[in-house]
Amino acid sequence: MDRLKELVVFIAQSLVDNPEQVEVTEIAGEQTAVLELKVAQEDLGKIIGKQGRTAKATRTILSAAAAKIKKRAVLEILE
Amino acid sequence: MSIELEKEGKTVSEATISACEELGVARDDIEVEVLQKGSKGVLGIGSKNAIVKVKVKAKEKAKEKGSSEKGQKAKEALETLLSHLVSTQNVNIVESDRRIKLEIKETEDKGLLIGKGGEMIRALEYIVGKISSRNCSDGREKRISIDVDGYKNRRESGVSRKVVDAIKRVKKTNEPYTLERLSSYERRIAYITIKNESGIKYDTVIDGNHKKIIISPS
Repeated sequence: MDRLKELVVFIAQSLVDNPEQVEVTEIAGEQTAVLELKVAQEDLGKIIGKQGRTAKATRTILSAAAAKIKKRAVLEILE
Repeated sequence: MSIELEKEGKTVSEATISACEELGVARDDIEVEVLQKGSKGVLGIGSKNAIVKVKVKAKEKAKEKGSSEKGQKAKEALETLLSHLVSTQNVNIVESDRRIKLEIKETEDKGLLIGKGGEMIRALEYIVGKISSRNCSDGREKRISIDVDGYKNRRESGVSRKVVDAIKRVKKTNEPYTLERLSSYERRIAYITIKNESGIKYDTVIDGNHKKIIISPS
């Protein structure tokens, strides 16, 4: 499960201006892992993207990584 | 200057493949003209070979050998992402004036990397594009294009085949026909195919968040 967290951290840190403020908390469940992503206020737009495109693409990649280990993963972006 | 070659084979695709092999070029880099369609005949009697004429396209010339900063960054980012998804990978990079093509080869889980209708490929393209154009001085204008083991080529010919079938149907029945939902890239292929045909017209309608192409007799 740690690998899912690492994946989100990598994507988030590569996109923002303040990578040191990227924080990912994982709430593991039996089937589903919830990953809560927190970034600096001014970086929020970069993570979400125009029309939520970046968030959508990140979720697609995360879902694939989770499917690989036969789990589900949900990405929550905290404001 | 262009190189041309005529080639015979049992089927059009077989002839095309052997022409590519003889010229040592990728399927992407040639234009194919079908001179004669092959037919099987009955019990081998009256069978005809397919003949194609192949022309090597003028290459989009790479500026210099090796790749730009964006290309390097894109390859690294893709490899890191893939390391979370598959255990083996091999990313091939080809750069031209306008595009950075990253081809993923020799991976065990193609379906996962392609996604439903290529959804995963598009997500990877988008994220890798974003990451690689950040703080990047060289090659920013180039578009990132990712492919998994020739998926896009296969899909491309699949789409144009479907369009050709649809056109035949429209001509036969004289009734409009709506194509299945296609991505913008696939629609582009569809339009190119439609343009080569006469006697039909097309319309694009918005259906919810998607666009659909309707082919109708003119």
